[in-house]
Amino acid sequence: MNRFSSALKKFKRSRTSVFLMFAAVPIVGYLLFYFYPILRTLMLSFTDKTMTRPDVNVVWLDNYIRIFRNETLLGKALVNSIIYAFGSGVITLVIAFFMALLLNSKVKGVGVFRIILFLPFVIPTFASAAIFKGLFDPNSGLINVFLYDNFGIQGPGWFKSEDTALLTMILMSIWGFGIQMLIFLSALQNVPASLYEAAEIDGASKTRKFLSITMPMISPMLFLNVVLVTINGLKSFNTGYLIGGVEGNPNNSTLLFPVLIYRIAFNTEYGGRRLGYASALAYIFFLVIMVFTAVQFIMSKFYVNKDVE
Amino acid sequence: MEQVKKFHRKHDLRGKIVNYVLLVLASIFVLIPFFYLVMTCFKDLNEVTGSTVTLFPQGNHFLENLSFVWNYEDYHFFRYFFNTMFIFVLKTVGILLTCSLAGYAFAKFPCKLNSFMFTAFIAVLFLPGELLNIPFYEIMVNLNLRYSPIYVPIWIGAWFGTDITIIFLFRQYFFSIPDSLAEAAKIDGANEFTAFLRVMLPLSRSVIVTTIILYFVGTYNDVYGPSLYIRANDYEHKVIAQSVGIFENLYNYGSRDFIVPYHYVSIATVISILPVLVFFFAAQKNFVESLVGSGLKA
Repeated sequence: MNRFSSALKKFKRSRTSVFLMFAAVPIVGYLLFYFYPILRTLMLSFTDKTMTRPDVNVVWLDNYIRIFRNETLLGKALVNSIIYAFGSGVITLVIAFFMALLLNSKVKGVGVFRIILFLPFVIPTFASAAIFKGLFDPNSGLINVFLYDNFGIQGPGWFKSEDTALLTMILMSIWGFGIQMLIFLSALQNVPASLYEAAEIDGASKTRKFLSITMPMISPMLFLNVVLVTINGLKSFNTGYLIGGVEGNPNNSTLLFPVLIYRIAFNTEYGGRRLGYASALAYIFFLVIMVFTAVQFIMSKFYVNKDVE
Repeated sequence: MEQVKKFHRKHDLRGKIVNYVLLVLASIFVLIPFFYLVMTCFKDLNEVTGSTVTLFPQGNHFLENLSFVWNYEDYHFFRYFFNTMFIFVLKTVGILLTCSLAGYAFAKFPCKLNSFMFTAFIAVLFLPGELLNIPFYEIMVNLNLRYSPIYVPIWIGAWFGTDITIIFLFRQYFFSIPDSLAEAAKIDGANEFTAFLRVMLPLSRSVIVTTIILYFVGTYNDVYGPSLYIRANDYEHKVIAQSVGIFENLYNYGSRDFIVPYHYVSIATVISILPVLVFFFAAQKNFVESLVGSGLKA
């Protein structure tokens, strides 16, 4: 008894106990909101659980087999998400980088341009979706009216046509390039001026300076931006949901993977909130994201300069 | 030598002009959607549905449109603003309380449990939300909290310190503050907790500001939570993110190609982004620093 109480006293004064005292709530939160759901989703993915029927059967790998055999939407949603992430990501990065280079020069009034170019990022997605639906309306939107009045061209259906809806979604997402632009800009501004001065003494040309100093110096930031846009693009729910709804209108062309999971798990009209089936989809989605993240890290070995930081 | 300098100056000037022109062009492109949004606010139904479309409005229907939107029976902007702010405050206060404590614990009390938990937290940092949402939804439905009028499902996680990014921000910050400050407070008779509360927490002001800004933007942008945990026809309990949709679906009686009254939608959109714009211009420097520092948006 004595030994126990002295051990308890010792524990109370130890770092572990103080650590526990401070971190107790997030540790409980971790178990409740991360640890349990990860296991529960895995368990659910082996069952046919729905929210509308009380009985649950263990079906083992049936969900996964059914997804790969019969789920016509799996490929569609996966391809949509990948095209969206890739298209939106690449164009956003190119524009953001180019704009950052322009903003990095010492011209007067550059602060005003920085605010203007950043502004669309501040606009919440629900608002930019509403703005772009108006702008790209096939009959009454500015774009098509402009095309018709000036060139006599009957513009495409944009969001309303199966062939162009995803592309228009990509165009819309590019509007918010401001954050990537500012990340690039801060990277450019952190390149020490002494490096450029030294190169100038050696008579280096502008292109030479750009390729041999600027690019290697900002390569870690480039990597950060590439990872951010790709993963955020794959995870993107808001844009798809706001443009095409849970149906992915028109004809599943705007259906992104997270929206597919959402509609199967939570929407009664699509088979009665099939939690089990949706859980299997969620795990497949998780694997896809893992693969993409791994590919990013492998690719980064080829263009990130290790001597920086 | 003189000539070389002259050449350089001339070259610089030309570069600057090209630079300006490109920046102005880019700015125009970026501003077109805003411009079109404002123009549409002045139009009437005829001008937005295709029969007599022009870029500039022919008449001025702004007040008419505004009064229609504002007085529309299912639209309660002040309620939506209040609801959004209610969620924002509950989430932010919860996350600040729990994550600052956790960040402090991770930074200042190294032990085996610390490094073990840290690895565990890192492991789930990039997990897609889809993997976590289904069981959470299940619990909320079973506890009969799905459509809770005080939005329990939307903010409850924040009170359990579930934002690992914010924990890391606090941890990094507390690393940079020397232990001697808290030690001094302890010599003066404070215990671990009051030393944290009185000395360390006030010093982490910059992380607190960052958290507030990230959560303001995050809550405002959130479509997933509200669409899942607020009943679709419960117009009193909607949030700002859902307010524009009311007018997009004004004439939606179920057919696929319904008319969208863009003039009303535009008014509702302008109203809905005014608070964000005010917040942005008021806290511009902090705003940009916080977002660039964390580089995130859902």
